[in-house]
Formats: sequence, C-alpha cells, structure tokens
Amino acid sequence: MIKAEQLSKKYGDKLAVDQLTFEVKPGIVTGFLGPNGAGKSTTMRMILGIDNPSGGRVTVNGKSYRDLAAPIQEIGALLDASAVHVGRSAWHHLNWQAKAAGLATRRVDEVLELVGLNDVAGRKVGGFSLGMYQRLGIASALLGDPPALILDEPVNGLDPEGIRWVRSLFRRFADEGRTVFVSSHLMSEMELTADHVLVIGRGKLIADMPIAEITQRSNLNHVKVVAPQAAQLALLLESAGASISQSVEHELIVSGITAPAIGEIAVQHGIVLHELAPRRASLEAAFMELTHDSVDYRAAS
Amino acid sequence: MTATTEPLREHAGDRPAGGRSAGTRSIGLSSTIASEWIKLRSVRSTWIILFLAVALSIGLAAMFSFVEGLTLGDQSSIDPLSSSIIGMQFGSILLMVFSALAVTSEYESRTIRTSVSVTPDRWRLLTGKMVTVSAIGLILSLIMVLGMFFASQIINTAYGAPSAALGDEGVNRFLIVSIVVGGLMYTVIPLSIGFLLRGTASAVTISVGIFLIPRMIASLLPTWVQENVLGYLPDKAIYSLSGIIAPSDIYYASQAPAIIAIIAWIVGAFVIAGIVFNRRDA
Ligand SMILES: Nc1ncnc2c1ncn2[C@@H]1O[C@H](COP(=O)(O)OP(=O)(O)O)[C@@H](O)[C@H]1O
Ligand SMILES: [Mg+2]
Repeated sequence: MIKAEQLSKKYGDKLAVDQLTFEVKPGIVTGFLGPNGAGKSTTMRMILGIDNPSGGRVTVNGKSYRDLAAPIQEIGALLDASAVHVGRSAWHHLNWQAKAAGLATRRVDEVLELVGLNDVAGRKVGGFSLGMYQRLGIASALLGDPPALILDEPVNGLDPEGIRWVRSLFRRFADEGRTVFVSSHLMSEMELTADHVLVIGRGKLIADMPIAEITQRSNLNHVKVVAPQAAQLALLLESAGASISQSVEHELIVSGITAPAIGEIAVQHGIVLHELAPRRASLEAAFMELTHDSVDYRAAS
Repeated sequence: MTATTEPLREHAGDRPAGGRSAGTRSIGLSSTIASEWIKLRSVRSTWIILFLAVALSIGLAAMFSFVEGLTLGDQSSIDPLSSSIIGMQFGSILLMVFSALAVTSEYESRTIRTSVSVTPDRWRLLTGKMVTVSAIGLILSLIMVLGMFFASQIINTAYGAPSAALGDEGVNRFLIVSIVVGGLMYTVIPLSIGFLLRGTASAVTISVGIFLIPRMIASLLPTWVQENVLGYLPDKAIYSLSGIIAPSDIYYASQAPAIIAIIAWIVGAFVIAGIVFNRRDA
C-alpha cells in the first residue's frame, strides 16, 4: 500500500508535483498516467526516498521509504532500466543489490531465470539490447520478492512478446494480492494493463478512478441521431436538457442525454428515427480530453 | 530469450510484510561493505587502475634511484627515503582516481539511485563505501610504499649510495605514516569530493589539486602563508609527519598539529560529504 498526502516537489521555481493525494491499493494493477513532464517519474522517486518531497509526505506500508528496515523486500522498483554500469555483468549488477539487502545469492539466479536472462548472466550489460535492459530492471525489482512493485514506463523498449510477458507478470502479481503501480504516458497501454488509473497533468491529480469509468465520464460521449424531422426533434431534445453539437440535414450529434431517453422522446412525439447510435469516446480520446489543459509544452517529450 | 511464465512460487496475499521468502539475513553495515566490494571488484577499470598504481609507483621510484645513482657524483647527497617516495606522485593520483570513481561512476551511470533505494540509510551507504575504498587504499598503499622502498634501497646499495633498512632511525615512522596516512588521505578525501561534485572529471581535478597545487605554488605565496598554512594542507602534513619534511623546513608542521590537521581533513571530508549526501536528491 502506497499512500501520498499533499505530496509536492519543486525544482527551483518549477512545481513538478503539486499536492498529490492518492492511495495505491493491493490486489489490482494501478496505472499512473499522464503526458510527458506531468511528474510521474518525480512522484515515483519520492515514493522511493530518492528525491525528498518539498511538501507533504508519501509512505509505503505506513512508513517513509527511508525508515523501512528492508526496503526492497517491501517494494521493488524499476525506474530507469538504463541506470546500470555498462562494464558490469548482469549477475554482478544484481548481486551487489542482493548483498546490500541481505538476500541470499541464489535469489540472483532465481530472478535472472524468471526474466529469461540466465543465459547472459555473465555478459557485460553494455552489450544488452533495450529489451534486455528492461528485463534486467524487472529482475532487480523482483529481487526482494516484494509485495509491492512500482515501475516507471516498464514497456518502453520491449518487443511485442516482451510487452505481453510484462503485462501477464503484472496481472499475476496483482492476482497474488500484491500492489502494482505502473506509469505510462500512453492510455492505450493502460487500457490493456490497469484496473484503476491515476491521471496527472502538470503535477496535479486529474482523475483517480477505475479504468472503465474514464470513458463513461467523458464529455466526448455522444449519440448520433438520424431523423427526417431532425429540426423538430432537436428542439425537443434541447428542452429535455441535451445539447446539440452538430446538425446537418437529417443528422444530429447529441450529448448530455442517453440513447434510450432520445428514443422515448421520439416515440412520445411520433417522430420517426432512422438511426440512433451511441458513440463512446475511445479511452485515448477521453485521456486527451482529461489532460488537454495540462499538457506541459515546456517539457521535452 | 524466452520468458518464464510459470507461477512465481507459493505466494502472497497472506503475507502482509512481504519478502521473507527471499531469504533475508540481517542487514547492516557489513551488508553494505560486502555490496560495495562487489561493485568495485566486478568492473575491470578497478583492476586496471590499481595495477597501474602499483606498477607506476614502484617503477618510477626504481627509475629515480637508478638515474640518481648514475648521474650523481657525490652520492652521499642522496636521501634514500625521499627518493623512494617519489613514485607516490603517480601512485597517489591513481588512488585518487580510483576513490573518486567509486562514487562518481555511480552518479554517471545513475546507479546511485538504485544504491539509495536498496540502502536508504545514506550514512550507512557512505560509511560502507568509505570503509571499502579506504581498506583497499590501505592495502594498496602498503604494497606501493614497501615496493618503492625496497626497490630504491636495492638500487642505492648497488651504486654504493646511502640506503636505508627497516628499523633504521626514522625509517619505520616514515613507512608507517606513508602507508597509513597516505592510504587514508588519498581515498577519503577524493571519495568525499566525489559525493559532493558527482562528476569524475571535476572530482579528480579538485582532489589532485588539493594535494598538488599547494606544492606547485608554495614559493609564490606570502611567507606567513607558507609558514602557517601550507604545513596543514594534506600533502605537507603527511610529509611533516613521515619525516620527509625536516623540522628546519619552512613548511614543517610539528607532530601533534600535523596529526590533528590530518584527522580534521579526514573527518571533515567525511562529515561534509555525509551531510550533503543526506540532504540532497540522489
Ligand atoms: N531533477 C530535476 N531537476 C529539475 N527539474 C526536473 C527534475 N526532474 C524532473 N524535473 C521537471 O519536473 C517535471 C516533471 O518531470 P517528470 O517527473 O520526469 O515527468 P514524467 O515522468 O511524468 O514525464 C518536468 O517538467 C521536468 O522537467
Ligand atoms: Mg518519466
């Protein structure tokens, strides 16, 4: 369980994270979504005690990360897969972490096996592909067999097979009752991975809801209606509180009212409908809508 | 490379605090030291730098004694101790590069973030690195100083020049101070500076500067500074204590103040590095 309260981070004048309050719960995959520069990585670094908050606090299992006695056995992290010494072998890269955490050396072999890197364990990391770096980073996150995982853009650089593998790994972890917190700047990725999403933009929390709810709440949901008496229907619908965003000949684009309600109004007034089609906003579109006002154009993408 | 998709082992929900199945032993400073030792020994650059330090320091001391023996008519003017420590000019720089790299390589590869995630007690991380690096420094210093000493003495003897032997007046003090104080100063100071500056080039430049610049510009400084300040800088303090700088010398610092100065440098560097490292984002 990860809990942030009024968590903020300033870099000089730049407010990277702005009073975030949220909880990441066990047993589900929680996505952490936001455009580039939104403050996802910064938040994750604060969770892990790497960067110090400028305000508020964040705890892991009720404690500040820096107060955890055996931190990587409480929460495993993958922040930056390329943060490895290129002249060191994969095995030694994991072994120094295992030693520092008081873990048995066999754990190194176990996690290398788990991520499929056991054949290249002795090779220098410098020669690894992007996907291998990512697997090594995941191995490091799993080293302490932690009940919580936190991963920053974990699918970056993975091939399709690797992406499927990572997704099934998260699913399995969540099903085992662990906490899984995964960031991405792509809604399409979250759609396939997460049960719940936290959406941030410019450091601020924009949404905290089950993934299914995002599209339901979108203003982009609308109903397409085709009727010979479109003009008359439009008036009726407007008086029922709906708004008409588009009206071309016999076709109306209506929002703020459900398709069944439109059908009933039509029947009551004897209006013939040729088409009545609800259009759900895609997740991608709903996400763009949510974050539209908070895209940080100053940030490098 | 095929990924494993079998279950992760018996597991989870019933395991609130987590991680017990990963085989924990108790975690403490010794874990950090073990980890730091793995970091150092698992990269080739460590071995290259340490090998060069030994080879160049002993080689240079031998060469210096050899050239002295060949060229000096009046061979009684040779000081057998100074000529043996000359190789430390190279040895100390390489030891400083090694020590600074122990932390700057972590900043440059960004593994420092992994290090502080695994060991969030930053004083313990700093102490673990200090202990590991300075232990290696002491062992290396022992090899270099004894190597230089014996190489020089063998060559001096061969030329019939004055030579020194273990147990001679001042020799043991010279050797012990050079090994112990040199081994500590050439590691603790650059490592601390590495924590402060985070870049290899800047940390090495500043560290080497602290030891060498006073030596190079000494004669340009006002007499008062030469008499009262230079003697307490790391380089001169080591030489006053080991007896290379004679009491008659303008840079000489007497024993007790020299010892205090050396301790102040070592403790001061460590504490400042620790305070900054603790406060700053990693
Ligand atoms: N160490 C830092 N120093 C200064 N600014 C930073 C630092 N880290 C992040 N930022 C800034 O904070 C903002 C959030 O960045 P980041 O957390 O990396 O966003 P995200 O991971 O969502 O893309 C960006 O504007 C970025 O430029
Ligand atoms: Mg990021």
